[in-house]
Amino acid sequence: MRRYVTQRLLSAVIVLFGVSIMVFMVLHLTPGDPVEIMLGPTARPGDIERLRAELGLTDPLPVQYVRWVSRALQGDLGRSIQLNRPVLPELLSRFQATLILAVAAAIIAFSLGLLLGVISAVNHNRLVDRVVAGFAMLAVSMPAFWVGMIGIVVFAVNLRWLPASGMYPPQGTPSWGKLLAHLVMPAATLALVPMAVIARFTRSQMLEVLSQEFVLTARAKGVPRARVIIDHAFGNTLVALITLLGLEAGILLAGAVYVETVFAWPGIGSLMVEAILKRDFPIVQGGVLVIATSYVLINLLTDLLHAAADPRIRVT
Amino acid sequence: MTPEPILRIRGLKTQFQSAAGVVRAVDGVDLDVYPGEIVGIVGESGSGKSALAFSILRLTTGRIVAGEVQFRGQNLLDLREAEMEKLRGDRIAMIFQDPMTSLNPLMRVGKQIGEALRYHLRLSRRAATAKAAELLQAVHLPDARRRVHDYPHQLSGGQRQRVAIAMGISCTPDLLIADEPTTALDVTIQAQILNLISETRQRTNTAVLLITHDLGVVAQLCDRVAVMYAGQVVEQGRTADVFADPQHPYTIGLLGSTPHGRQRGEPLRPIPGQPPRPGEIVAGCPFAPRCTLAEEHCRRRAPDLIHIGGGRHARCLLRTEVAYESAS
Repeated sequence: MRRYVTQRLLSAVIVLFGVSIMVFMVLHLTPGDPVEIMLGPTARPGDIERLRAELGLTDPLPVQYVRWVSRALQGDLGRSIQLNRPVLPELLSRFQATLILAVAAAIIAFSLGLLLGVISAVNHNRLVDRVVAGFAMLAVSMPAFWVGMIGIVVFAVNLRWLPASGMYPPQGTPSWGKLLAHLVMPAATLALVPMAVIARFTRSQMLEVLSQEFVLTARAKGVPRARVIIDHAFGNTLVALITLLGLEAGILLAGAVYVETVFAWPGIGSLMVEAILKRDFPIVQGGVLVIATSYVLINLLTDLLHAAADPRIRVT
Repeated sequence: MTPEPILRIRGLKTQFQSAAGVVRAVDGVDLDVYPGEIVGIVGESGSGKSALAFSILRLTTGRIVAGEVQFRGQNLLDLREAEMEKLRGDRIAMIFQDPMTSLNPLMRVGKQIGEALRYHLRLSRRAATAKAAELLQAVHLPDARRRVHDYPHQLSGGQRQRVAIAMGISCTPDLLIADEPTTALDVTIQAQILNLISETRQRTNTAVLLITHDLGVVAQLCDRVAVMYAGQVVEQGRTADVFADPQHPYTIGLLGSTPHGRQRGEPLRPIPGQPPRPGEIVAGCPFAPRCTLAEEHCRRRAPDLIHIGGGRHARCLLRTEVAYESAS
């Protein structure tokens, strides 16, 4: 087990190293000179040269990379051109909002997806199974931004049950209740597709497990059918699904961009969309780094969870 | 006076729906099992022996369309599912072919053995684990007390099959159904597992229904044997009698095609042809197309299972005539 954990940690570090190189290259592969962009078209050539030297842009790339990484490791991701503030605190506060949204969506998608999948498998080929399959098909084929807009029209504009956008009302003190009201629609929208995907995979995986002999062994022991599903089949299904759940968790984090834009959720996705439009490269760079890092961490967590849940992995 | 059979199967028919039509996997089986005896069921793959086993426990995926399964005087086919669950693992237990797949890979073996004890004997978790260790000791698993905490993948195939047997006998059932319990194991391990089954029978007086395609296993272990072909029992009798003087041409062919029934130096003679395909309906005797002794009427009339004396039964028109002749 310890060797497995060390191995996984090591490979996570290697992936992060690759990510950092790619993120670093973003700046250098973008067309146009960032210094010229910073100083504008009226800048004198001498000023451009001076600022370039000041920013260390005349150094060889490896030197620049090492400097950038060592700063990044100390939490210094540079300053935002647009906001003229350090990038990291800005990113982190926005990332927190994204995390709240993604976790809420994950709770909905995982619990409902697994539940629907199990119900489907247990009622294989019966009406319930077909209804769930139809619902999943529908959910997968509807684009999230469209569902979000329909939700706003129905629940915010017509019924006035839920707020249409933002994380808190513009006035008044923030509270859990207000946050929750603002969270319901974006989280549900974000959860829709992953939930449907999880439901379908859970169904097929559960059917596969139910056809295995140990399920029959349990029945032959006199374990009631419902207990067989809970004690024997579900655990084996879940272990087989951990990888998928990890991937979906990553998708929830990355997919938040669309939903944040539709619902004006102050997350890292909407921040990056703004930054891209305004050529605020430090923000984009930092944002990619934060998202990529959280992706790698989710993957690491998935692998470790898998090892913890499946005794067959532990010994190797 | 002969004792009452613990299991009395009459006219049992189990069918599967398939693309090729209705498959009559079990097609009118009669079978008795008496307390404490080991009855072998032999036949080729697809002869319906496993379908028969699963039908007894009502765990078949097919449909039981006719017949009776009397267990201790009670027709199992009349019971409600909840009553059936009380019986499974308690009075009738089952061991499966492949110990690699018949254990839950995520559950410690002690807990898997303890499950039946907890459901049927209402033991506490702790008592069930303690009893599981005892059972593992009884099936000669070395270091049983520690092994209860192992996962299946930490055990070898033979050890897993011991676990499966411990699981089967945990509530000292009246009947243990073993579906090819040694087929997936190495030859040396096979003998150990067979010994274990025989030893268990002697200790607990549990009747065993042993399903196998291995005539050697039958010769070594079984008091009586039923030979199955195309979903039917074609011959039934004491093992020694059947081996010494097979009555049904299929049994003769089966014994001739394996080393166990032959003299040293005699060549093996495989049975020509193939058994009927699943779903195929053969007019007359299902074995007639492969039978070297078949006569014209064999292809027209399906024979019944006839008592031919000495507790022996055969399903063959040739024997039927002999029986009629000697009776008249």
